[in-house]
Amino acid sequence: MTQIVTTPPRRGVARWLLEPLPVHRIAVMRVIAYLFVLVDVFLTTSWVAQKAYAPESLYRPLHIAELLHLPHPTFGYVTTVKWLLVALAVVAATGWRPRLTGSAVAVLYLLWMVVGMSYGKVDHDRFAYLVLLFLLPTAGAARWGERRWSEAAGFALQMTFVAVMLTYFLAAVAKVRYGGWDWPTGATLTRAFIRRGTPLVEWVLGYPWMLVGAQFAMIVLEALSPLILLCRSPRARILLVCGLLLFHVMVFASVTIIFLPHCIAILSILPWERFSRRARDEQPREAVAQPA
Amino acid sequence: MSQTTTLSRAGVVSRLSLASIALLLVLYGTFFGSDSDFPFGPFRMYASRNAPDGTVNSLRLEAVTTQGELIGVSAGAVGLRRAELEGSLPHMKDEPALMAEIVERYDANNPGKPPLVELRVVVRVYELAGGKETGHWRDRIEAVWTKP
Repeated sequence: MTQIVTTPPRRGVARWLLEPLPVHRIAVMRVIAYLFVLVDVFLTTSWVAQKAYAPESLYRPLHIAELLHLPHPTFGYVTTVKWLLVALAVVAATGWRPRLTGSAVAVLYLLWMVVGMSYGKVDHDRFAYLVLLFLLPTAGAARWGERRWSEAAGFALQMTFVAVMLTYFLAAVAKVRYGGWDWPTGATLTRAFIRRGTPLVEWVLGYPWMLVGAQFAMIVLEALSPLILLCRSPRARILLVCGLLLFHVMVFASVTIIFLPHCIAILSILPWERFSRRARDEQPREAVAQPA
Repeated sequence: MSQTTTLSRAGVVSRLSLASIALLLVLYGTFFGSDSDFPFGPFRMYASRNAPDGTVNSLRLEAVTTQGELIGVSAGAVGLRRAELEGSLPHMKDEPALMAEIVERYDANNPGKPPLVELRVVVRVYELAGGKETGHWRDRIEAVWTKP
């Protein structure tokens, strides 16, 4: 149950995670996140649907699939999950019964991903987007242009922010775990560019020191990624989102890998109310009294 | 003037406890888990290291059709991605039946095209020296299936 009162005093991490944020942001992100499901299913991960036609003996179920006794991805199962997901995503994008439809989309998208990741290759651009899908329903009702702020909205958005950060930070940890401390001096980018480099970057293969430099920059920036959580003001958040999206566009230009679902999760960091005259909050918010 | 909606105590406690569990799972996955722990597995993309004086491998499928033509078969044509084929290479070497199944898939997925009588898994090995391509590469045929 929610009630309208002044913000109760909260301390430490709870205070940061439950910072009230504009409900309008949730309304905007619902439309973006749920409509992206259609892009994902039909365009960017259409190969998941192909699993209905993949060799069955290559199926290596994930632990979660075994734990939940999920069925073998037959043609019937994959097709059912696909169309249920598409239909519910369209309904959820309208904002109708957000808790119910949103939760259904989150669960169906997870099932969809479990199918996609069960053939020997796992992608890591899904984590923050999955977190966003599971958290959007917890924010409850939200209308476009609504001026209300809420702790539930704040929690959903801040946790997605944390998930975006963890995707970078834990990638640095994984590099040390699998590649060793000397990962940056290796030829990992050379491998990436030989295998799938675009004409834009092929020339760099002749200058390995540049690739080593880029690897050092990558791992250092990933290790420092927790600092992005310090972006609090709307301006800082807009700059951060532009910077992160620019990075992913550059990666796409060099190796044609785009972390599209992750980019959708990044959009939840934006202060969307700034771009809507109706939702902008000109007056100081009286209700958020500083705790004594 | 806008208003602020706060959460009840139960709302706060349930959110913070579920978030802590999720965080512990993803931390466990990162340090001790494997790809099979998705979505809590380690964020492993490009985490392995290639030696600057080592090699870079790139896998592809080649096939011979009933018309005697040598063609390239994309991973997508058999419902897979290239990295998935690479992950399955050990199985393909050990079980010729799996190769037969891939051919069946190809024929079923591409009804308009001539059927395959032979499928080869070819790995191109590029040699590196000092992190630079030497220009030397060799194609290694890792597995072959021929129509009985």
